[in-house]
Amino acid sequence: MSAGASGGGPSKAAGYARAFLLILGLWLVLSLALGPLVLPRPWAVIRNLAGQLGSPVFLGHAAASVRRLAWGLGAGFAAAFPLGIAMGRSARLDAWLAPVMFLTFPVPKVLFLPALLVVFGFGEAPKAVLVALVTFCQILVVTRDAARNMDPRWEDSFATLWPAARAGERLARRLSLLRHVVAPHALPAAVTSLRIASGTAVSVLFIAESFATDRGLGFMIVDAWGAMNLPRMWSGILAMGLLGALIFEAADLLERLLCPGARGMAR
Amino acid sequence: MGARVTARGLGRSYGEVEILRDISFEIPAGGSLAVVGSSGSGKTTLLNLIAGLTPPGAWEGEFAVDPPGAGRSYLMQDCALFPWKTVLANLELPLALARVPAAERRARAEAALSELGLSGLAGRYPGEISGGERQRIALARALAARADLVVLDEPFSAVDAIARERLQDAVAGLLAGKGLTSVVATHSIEEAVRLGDEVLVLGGRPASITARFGNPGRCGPGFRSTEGFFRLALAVRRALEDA
Ligand SMILES: Nc1ncnc2c1ncn2[C@@H]1O[C@H](COP(=O)(O)OP(=O)(O)OP(=O)(O)O)[C@@H](O)[C@H]1O
Ligand SMILES: [Mg+2]
Repeated sequence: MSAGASGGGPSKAAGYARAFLLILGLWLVLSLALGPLVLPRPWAVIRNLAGQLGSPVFLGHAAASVRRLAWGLGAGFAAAFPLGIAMGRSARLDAWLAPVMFLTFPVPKVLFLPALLVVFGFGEAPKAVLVALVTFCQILVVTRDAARNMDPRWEDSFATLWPAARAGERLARRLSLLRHVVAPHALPAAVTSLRIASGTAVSVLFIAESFATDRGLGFMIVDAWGAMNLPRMWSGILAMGLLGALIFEAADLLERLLCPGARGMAR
Repeated sequence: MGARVTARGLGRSYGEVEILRDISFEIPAGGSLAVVGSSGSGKTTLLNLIAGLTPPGAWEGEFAVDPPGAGRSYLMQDCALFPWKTVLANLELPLALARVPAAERRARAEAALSELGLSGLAGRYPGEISGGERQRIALARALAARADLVVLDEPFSAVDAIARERLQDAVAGLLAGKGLTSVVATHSIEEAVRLGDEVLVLGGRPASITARFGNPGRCGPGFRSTEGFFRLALAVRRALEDA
């Protein structure tokens, strides 16, 4: 178990530190080339962001974005995972739902934002629902595939453990199979796709927050842009980027918490 | 206690392709049967049937386990343990499915692990232990579940030669000590001779029993270095070469 492979430890921190310095360097070069009026110097933005960290206004924006992301990702996953398992294991259900899934998958879900605003009004709901929709579609496809493509020998292996005394309990047996075999088998793939979806979720959230709201980091960026307050705009961009990285890391942690045996699952 | 197994004229096809034909044998309670045959000869197919995985109607002939409710435990070739559960959770799973109360479940699983000297692995995942350890864990699961019939499919193919002999001795001792009935499929002639009271050689297409050998000396001391061992191993080898 090397520190690099397990994804934690000092080598990972060092890697992040290197990447951060590299980005700062690139940023500085670009800023020097374009001039501070187009792209402020990195330290100006970082100082601006650090100064805002104590401000209730900024914290309010950040909290609104975090809340929408958490709700959206959580609800999307919670809905898609069981449905994906059910589709992957029931040919009848799949015959109905899979065509719908494949037909709608390539459609960018942001297109539904205006419709969501009409249906849910201008409150919190449409933003979280949009994030949930994006998450839902990605997790659904991956979970269904993982459940479908499971090596049938795992099912046999489970069948050998089912007690002879309960041979007649078909439904209980099917549910136990889902719980002990299919779901844990599909979970690593689903959580990985949650991690990937979290990137898309932040982009979609930015779009959702860039109009019809006065809260959220997305709003803060667009608002500062309108006011030509570049340091503030850039600290919003930086904050939203950091939020994305943070969510990505959280999903990574979740993956390791939920799927501890995953390293032996290549078979 | 061990179960008695009777098979008469077993046959099995996958679609149009006939895999097994006219397989008959009897295993007395507490007895052991070893099945040898080349790769693809149908050992796993036969074991699936014995373990109860093959749905009724998908095979021909008579097959009976006595008593009918006897617990069967199948150590599958490479999917015996679930990688997403810890060793302890793997052991407890069949007990949970049989609705054994949680405290008793834990106690039985831990007792089986310690009986095989594997207590140290309880918290690990199957991906974190060796192939030989995995097979022993699967055997501990059979013990915890109080199986009467244990079916082992190439249990030690992932283990080096010396460790393999030690494992064979340990497993043979354990099964005999508990009086459990067992069926083991293997490529290894020595393994078959060490583990089977009777050795069946599968061969041909469709596979049938091309030779069968009794093995009365199996439980004697130092069997592996006796003349009887080598003589039987040689006979099985000849039968395999002819098959
Ligand atoms: N699900 C299946 N569908 C069709 N044919 C199968 C299936 N499973 C096995 N077979 C065929 O049945 C034959 C016997 O396979 P089996 O797995 O029983 O052999 P085996 O003796 O266990 O081999 P090995 O020593 O490699 O494990 C093979 O020719 C195999 O291709
Ligand atoms: Mg096999």
